[in-house]
Amino acid sequence: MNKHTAYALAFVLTVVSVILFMLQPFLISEVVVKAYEGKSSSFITNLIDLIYPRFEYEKNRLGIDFFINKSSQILRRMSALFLFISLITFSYYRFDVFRKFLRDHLYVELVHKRVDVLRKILYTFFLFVASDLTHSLLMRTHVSAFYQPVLLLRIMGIPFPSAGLIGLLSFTLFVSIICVLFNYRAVLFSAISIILFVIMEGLHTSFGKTDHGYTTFMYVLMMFPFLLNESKTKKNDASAWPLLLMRVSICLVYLMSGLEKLTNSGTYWLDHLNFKTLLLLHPTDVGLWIADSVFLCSILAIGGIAFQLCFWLILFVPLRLKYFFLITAVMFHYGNVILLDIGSFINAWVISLSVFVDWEKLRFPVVKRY
Amino acid sequence: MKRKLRKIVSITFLSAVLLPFILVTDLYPFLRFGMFAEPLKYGYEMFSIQIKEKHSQNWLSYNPEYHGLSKSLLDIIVRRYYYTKRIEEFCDEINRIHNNSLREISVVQQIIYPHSASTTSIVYSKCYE
Repeated sequence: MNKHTAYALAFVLTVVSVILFMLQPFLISEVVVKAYEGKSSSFITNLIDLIYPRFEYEKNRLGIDFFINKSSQILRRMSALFLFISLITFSYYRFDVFRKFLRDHLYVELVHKRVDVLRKILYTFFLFVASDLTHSLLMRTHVSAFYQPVLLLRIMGIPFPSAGLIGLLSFTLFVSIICVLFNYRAVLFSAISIILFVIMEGLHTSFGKTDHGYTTFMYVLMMFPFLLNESKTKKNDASAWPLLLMRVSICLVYLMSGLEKLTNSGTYWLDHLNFKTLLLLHPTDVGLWIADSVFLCSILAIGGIAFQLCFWLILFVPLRLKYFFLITAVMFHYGNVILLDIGSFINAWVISLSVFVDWEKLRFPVVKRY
Repeated sequence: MKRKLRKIVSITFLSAVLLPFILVTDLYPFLRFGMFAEPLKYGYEMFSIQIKEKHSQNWLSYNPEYHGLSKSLLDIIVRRYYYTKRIEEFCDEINRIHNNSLREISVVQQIIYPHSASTTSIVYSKCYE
């Protein structure tokens, strides 16, 4: 893209952003009111059913204001995203310093040893994930009446499988993971394993509640076949762009989690009462002890959200600070386990953070052998 | 990999990661991260199930983990059936899972308030005798 095209694009995106922001009250209300009263056209009804199936029962529980607010948020978020892309595009082409800064910090060198260590760590953990998923799916065969497939599985027309089919899927998944671990046709088998993982985790998620336990791990594995493919190249200037995508996706996940809290609850999320209610909803011994302290509830709420909003800075900080961010992230996840009984100590989010580590620079005995 | 394909993969992947946040909904396998984002100002509703077996007088808490469901997942399933007025269908299914060995099922609603004590009430009950 040349400079003038980039400026034109930035200008168009800014205009669209402003229009969306200005028109959002008028664009949304009528559509939402009609849908809420069940008077929408069949096209809108089907569209809502497709992307927001919970609307069917949530509208019996929540007032119309909730849905108007949610729909307005969609336009506000679109508007903000367009404005952000516009600013980045303009700055990238206008300011050499900004361009150089991004290039310096977002270039990830392809280090074969690092890819090798990551392959071993992630796919060894993947064995545990596959076993956990298999166990859970087999147990759910008894409650398959509650199965409500997620969009992807609905499109593919996948019903809840029998125990035998779950066994077959799991066996193929295990074989694929082991092949990647032994570096046998790793690109092919890493692709097969992520497809099977997406299907099996999709079946697991298709009971009405989204399980975020393996999300970042799945994002990382989605890019792993590309990383393995890149690492086959012998070129000296090869870039580990899939590794950068893994890192950026994890940063985006934390940032989006923080922004969700602020956009839905505003500053009330920082109030000690909000955090106290969270602790009461997910009671643990330590959590209930903390719930009595206004000071600790406030500090933990502010600290948690600050961490989520600032984690993306890890992409731009020097090496030592990078490890500070990673340790904070590990503490954040184990804090969730201890205080809210969310997740477990064998934690896929923590394992996913391994993509930020420059393994070849660490002096562990296992890495020294290289 | 060719530069163009690399760009397509990168833009598609990052857009897919961002899309659930923009559309405020999950688009599996890409998810929205709205857990605990809603304000807990006005009380939070939770459902649980109590069961009584045919040859027993005692109420037992139905443990969903026995069937691979977490308590929070059971809560969401009950909510779905309760608010779409299909709670009887849900109870029948729970009885079927227990090989029709239940005498009575109760759906218990608990509301946890930030400012005051929580309240508990039975919102639906069904006898099988």
